[in-house]
Amino acid sequence: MNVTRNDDGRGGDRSPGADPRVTAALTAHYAAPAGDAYWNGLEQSIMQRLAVATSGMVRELRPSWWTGFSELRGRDWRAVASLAATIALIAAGASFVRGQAASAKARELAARAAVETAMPLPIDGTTLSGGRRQLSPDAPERYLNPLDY
Amino acid sequence: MGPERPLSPEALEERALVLAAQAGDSTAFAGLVRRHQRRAYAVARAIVLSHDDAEDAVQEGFLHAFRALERFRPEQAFGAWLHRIVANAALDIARRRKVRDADELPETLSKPHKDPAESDELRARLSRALDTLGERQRAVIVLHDVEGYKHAEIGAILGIPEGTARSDLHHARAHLRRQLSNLRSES
Repeated sequence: MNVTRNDDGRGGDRSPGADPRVTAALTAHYAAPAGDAYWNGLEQSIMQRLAVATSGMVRELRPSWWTGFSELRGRDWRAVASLAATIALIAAGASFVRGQAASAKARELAARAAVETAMPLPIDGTTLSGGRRQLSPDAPERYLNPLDY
Repeated sequence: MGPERPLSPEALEERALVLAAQAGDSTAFAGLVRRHQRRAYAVARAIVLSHDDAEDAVQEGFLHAFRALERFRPEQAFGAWLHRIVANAALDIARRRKVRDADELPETLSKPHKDPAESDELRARLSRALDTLGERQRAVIVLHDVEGYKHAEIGAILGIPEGTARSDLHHARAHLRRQLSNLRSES
């Protein structure tokens, strides 16, 4: 196959420090194929490879989710804004209701704790038996006739 | 910044091709391939050791360029942008080849596109000399002495400082001169 210099106006005597013999050898060694047939073939194979590589590839019109915003018009923006406001309102309402329920439960627990602290009630058998063991023998009398004590 | 220089008709034509290709026109991209494939081959060939690898690098480079085309700004020089991509593809292939060829015979290296006029002895000696040259130094001497690129352009293509390209060229020339000195005295 014929070979030729693969330049388009470069090269030649632009390398004053180079050894002409070595440069000539290098030029021959690195010569690109000559002839349009080769380059037409290369162009075709590049384009074929490109077609194969991109056949399954849909060029992304919206590379990212936020790029869709740039396509919105004024009316669309209003719709998006009202939707966002509705969602925010629902979220705030849900949060408020949950907060109210939580505080009501906390109040109830606090009240119950206060009552239990003031009037300890026996809850199970263990507590009952333990409590009785601590009573003095004359306790029933004291409860029935407190003024005598 | 000064006023923008008027573009040459070729540059205007190229910009039109780039814009059309960016809009999805594959015929326009084929036009860019036609315009730049020879220079792209020269850049790739300076980096890899064989014609086949250079061809692969050119194809890979154009493929990468097509995929990245949306990010290319049309006011840039398309050639410089493409050459950098092709050079990266070639460097990648050269690295892969180095790993793959580590266990193979050294004769597989440095396959030129054969010129019948070139003497076998010279070709063999030059191939050996080039094989002993570092990858970057080899690319620099070919891009400078054979392809006529300037140091700054070589730096941009290979991603190295201009001073490094200059010093690589000096060392590469000295190395080849030493390696081919016997041949020169014989002839």
